[in-house]
Amino acid sequence: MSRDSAPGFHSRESMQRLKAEALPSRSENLAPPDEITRRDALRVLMGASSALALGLTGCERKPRRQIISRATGPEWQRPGEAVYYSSTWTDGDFPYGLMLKTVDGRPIKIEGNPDHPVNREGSTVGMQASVLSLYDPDRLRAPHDEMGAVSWEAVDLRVVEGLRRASSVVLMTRANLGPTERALIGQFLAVCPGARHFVHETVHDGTRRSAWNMVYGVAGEALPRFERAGVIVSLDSDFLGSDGAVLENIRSFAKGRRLADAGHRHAETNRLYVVESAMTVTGSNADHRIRLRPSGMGLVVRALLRAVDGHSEDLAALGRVHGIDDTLLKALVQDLRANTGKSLVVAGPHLPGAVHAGVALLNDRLDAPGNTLDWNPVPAKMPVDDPEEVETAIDRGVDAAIFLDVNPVYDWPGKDFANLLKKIHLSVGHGLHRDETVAACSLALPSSHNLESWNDAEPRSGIRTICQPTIAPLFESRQSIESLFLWTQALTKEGSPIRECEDWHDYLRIRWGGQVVGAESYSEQREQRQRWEDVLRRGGSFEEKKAVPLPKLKRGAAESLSRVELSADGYEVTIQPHHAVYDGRFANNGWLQELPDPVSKLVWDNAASVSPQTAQSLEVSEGDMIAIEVGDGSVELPVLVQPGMADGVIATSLGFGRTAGGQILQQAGEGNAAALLGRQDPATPRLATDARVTKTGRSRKLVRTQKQFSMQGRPIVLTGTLEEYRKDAGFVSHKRHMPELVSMYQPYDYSKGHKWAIAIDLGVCVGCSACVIACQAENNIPIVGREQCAVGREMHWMRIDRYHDGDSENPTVHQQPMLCQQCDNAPCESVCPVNATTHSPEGLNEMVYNRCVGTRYCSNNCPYKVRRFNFLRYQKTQLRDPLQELAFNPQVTVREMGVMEKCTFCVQRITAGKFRAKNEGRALKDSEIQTACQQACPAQAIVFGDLNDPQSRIAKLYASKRAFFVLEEYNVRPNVAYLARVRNPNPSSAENVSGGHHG
Amino acid sequence: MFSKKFERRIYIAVAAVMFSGALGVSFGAYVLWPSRREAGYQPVQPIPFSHKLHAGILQIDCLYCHSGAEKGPHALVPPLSTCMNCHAEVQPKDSLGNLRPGIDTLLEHWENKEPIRWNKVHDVADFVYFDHSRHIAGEVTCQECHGPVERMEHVQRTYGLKMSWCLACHKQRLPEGDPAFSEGRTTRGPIHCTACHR
Repeated sequence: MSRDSAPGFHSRESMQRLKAEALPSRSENLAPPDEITRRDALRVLMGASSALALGLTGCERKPRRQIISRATGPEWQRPGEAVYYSSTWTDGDFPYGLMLKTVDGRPIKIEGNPDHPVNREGSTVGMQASVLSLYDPDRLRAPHDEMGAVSWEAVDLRVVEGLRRASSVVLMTRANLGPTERALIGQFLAVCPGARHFVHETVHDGTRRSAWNMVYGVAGEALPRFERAGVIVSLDSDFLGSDGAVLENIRSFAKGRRLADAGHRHAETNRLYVVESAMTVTGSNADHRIRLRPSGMGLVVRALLRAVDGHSEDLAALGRVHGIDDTLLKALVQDLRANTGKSLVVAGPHLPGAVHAGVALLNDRLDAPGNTLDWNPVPAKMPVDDPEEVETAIDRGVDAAIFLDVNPVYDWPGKDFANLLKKIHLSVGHGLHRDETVAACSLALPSSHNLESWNDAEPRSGIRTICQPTIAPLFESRQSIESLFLWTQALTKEGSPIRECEDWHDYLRIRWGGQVVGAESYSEQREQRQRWEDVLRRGGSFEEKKAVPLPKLKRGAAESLSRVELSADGYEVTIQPHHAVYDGRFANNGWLQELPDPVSKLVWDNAASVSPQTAQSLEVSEGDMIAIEVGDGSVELPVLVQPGMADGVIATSLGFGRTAGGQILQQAGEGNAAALLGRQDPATPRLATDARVTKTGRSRKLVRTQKQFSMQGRPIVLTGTLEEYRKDAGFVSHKRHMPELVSMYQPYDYSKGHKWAIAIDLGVCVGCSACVIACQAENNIPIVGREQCAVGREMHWMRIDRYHDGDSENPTVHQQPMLCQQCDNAPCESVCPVNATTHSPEGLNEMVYNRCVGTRYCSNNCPYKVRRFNFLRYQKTQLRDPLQELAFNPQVTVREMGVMEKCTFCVQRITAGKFRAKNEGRALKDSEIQTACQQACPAQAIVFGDLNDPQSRIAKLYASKRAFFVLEEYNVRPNVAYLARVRNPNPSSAENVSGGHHG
Repeated sequence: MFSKKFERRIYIAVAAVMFSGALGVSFGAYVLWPSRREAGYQPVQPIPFSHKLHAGILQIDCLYCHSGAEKGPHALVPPLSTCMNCHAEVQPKDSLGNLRPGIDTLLEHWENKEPIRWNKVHDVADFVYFDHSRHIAGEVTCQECHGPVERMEHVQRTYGLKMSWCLACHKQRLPEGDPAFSEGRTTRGPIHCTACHR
């Protein structure tokens, strides 16, 4: 049951309350009785009028409701109480472990699985938002053929018959496949002789992996170990945003950035140099950031390689050609040499093989293998097949094609795939939605969602995780791999082991050794069952295995590969996965569409990001459409002027311009960047170096949630360098001016009970925005749509503010999660005419929705601008289907139009934690209560706790000398402390703190 | 314009209309006053289940059926399987052949595995987050809120379950030396908004 409010509920309840409070016996605890405050006067006045009004409003009757008891109740499930399941997120680019909260049998919130060694409790925005896709009303609900809905039996008959007759079959899947899926595909290929398996993915690191394959001689992937690195150099690799196992990267990078006050004189953090073409999350966290076109990356690697060996001539040449300040490069080389064995160089997956070969040589020279680099022989993602091979196969004639959760019609990096599909006699499209591909196929089959599916994954050797369903399929859907299983089974001869399995789940269980076989003894059966249940409970088996060492580098191969020159004739284009909707597969998810891009703060849209100088030379400004042509592909995109971009570079994202598969994606921006993939060189599909750009004369208004990136000289984000910090841990006190603080209010007494507070370490927050979606999922925050965002009405309780500092062409970036500060002297409370926002004895600034009449005075008086107002019935416009109500957290009220709302510090979690402790008759433990944002944060930058507990983590962080409050001088006494960011620029280039100069 | 006499009549008429109007409004307010109206609410249930018999005469513990009350937010109306723990034996007719009303309906539902749709007697607004377990653990008896259920043939709402009524209890001062004092509270229950509303 959702906590939906009946229309007009405020009026009646607030009248009731006011009537009750108008009585003279009002609580003595809150205000001295002999003073008549403004509120008292108001109360009497309102009480009197409410008595009159009651005669009219009191007639409203509450709907009579029923309690429907079950026939037989399950023992382990009590209504209203959460049950948690561990599972695996198989939808995204990496199979992270997840912990799923279900209430009354419906999944409502996803967290990271704390036992999972790769991501621990952290989660990505895609993981968090996955629960919304489960209840997406636009999902394909039943199997369809050309004529309309059909039964699964008819589908199976037709497909099996088609496969039997076919002499040539194409099976196309995603790259992120579990070991059991791979085994099943192997069996399918064995029983269907004409079949070939192709892996299709637009976001992949195929270029990098084939380069590694060449230089190391074996297939696999190098695993960067950022936590062990003192100096990190990133060449266009957004490892904190989109490259690799991002959650693991953020966690290990943050580990190398965390500071404790004790021993601050000898504090050490890692140092991050980023050489990049586009402004990314990684670049925003750099200590030194150099802007460079992607075509120059090969030169940089070779110059660095020679310079580390003592020949620094190339650095100067590089400086001349690309306009990079070579003193910074020299300092970087010095740093690398001084940190041999503790340094790490990474390069972006879109860069050509020459760069990766050079990086391998450089890492080898710096003694990274075994220290900061490990090896993973079996990556979680399968290598992607060459699109041309698929095209040739289809051209030669294919009788049947099966597409499992891929969308080549939308994002095929080659010929028009819809045309290719027409040549195929039987095409089977399996997908969550009726997307472009499923719509073009002769059979449109609904896939089950990740949370309705059985699966497994092996992200690293020794880590095997299980994916288990947490809800029965909501529709007549079937897991795509289960379909393949049933077809394989039907094609297999009688008597083979696969025929013994009842279903895909059975098949999976046998492979996990959890199958109960009749011939064995009872105790063995019990043991097996126990083991299987343990696997389900933990989410997999996590054996600590020794790190696999990097294979020996083949120097000759690496050197010859690294010398391949890259031509650069025109504008250079890089195409990255979108921060939220990834390659377009999450395009129908409103939470993700409305999540501001961490760099540009753009919502609902795709853009071509260019540097201010490039915009000038193109004579365009923000919103002007430009046509980008690469080879025979072209796309039209609005311009977004992004400081920090390298000149002559255009950066854009995949995932937009979807045309079919739901209503949400219709609102999103157009311009499918997949049209540019591989048009110049299929070996580097996401990079083009000779693009032509023309101004079209059209324009589109881009919606950004933040447009002003300057702090205007105010001390909002305080930062210092490691040098400063070593000299004085309390350097922040010199960076702000504190006037004498006076208050006209009597201070509250918080000495007893709890006093809740949050501390956010700006030194480790990378700005990934997982907290924003976690908050949205936990607190039933509505989607408002593109139009409403354009007038500044987005509803996120938590946002990441971004500030630029220094060089306007290549700014230093500061990020600051901003949420309700739960002020002790809250300015919002004193202006509310109806007492709808009040103060709790535990230091929370409470928002009572059923009292709020929507004057918005509080929002007007809030210096942090963290209050959000429901201008329209957002939840009503968002809800197109009662199904969507199932996604609501039943512990949080769904707000109505005309009501103010804001961060509550997840008061429902606080209450639940307190109740649990009290019912068990014990004191609350520190860190027992976690807010949603804290739980999701992969960097563990957010800590929530009780300040009155001197041993708590929060109390220690508050005592940190780096702690400061935002707008402290207003004396609102916030309860969110920020720990100043300590950057670690190279002291020998101290005058170049903001990185190199360009042009 | 009007004659003096007529004018007076107008005054009297207006006064009379106003007086009877005021009387009507006050009467209406009195009758429709929610707490008054909602206390005493006694819907007809699909089975004439007698709490007087089960809880009063037979002395079955409240928590036997309402097993969620000490564990979670909802007290729970029991699943049919709980009823059948006894009613597998306790049949529609006793040994003397007297009819026990309602048991045949129960058996019918059980046979068809069809849940019974009880009418909710005690219902608070959706924006109130009430938790039974906290109150049971705080040694509030069931009767303090639900009234003397063990004496009721058919359950009836004894109290209006309005906020002022909740607060009347929450605001009670704690005796000196109560362990809850150490947490900085001086009243029996918390009285800040987010204790119940979020």
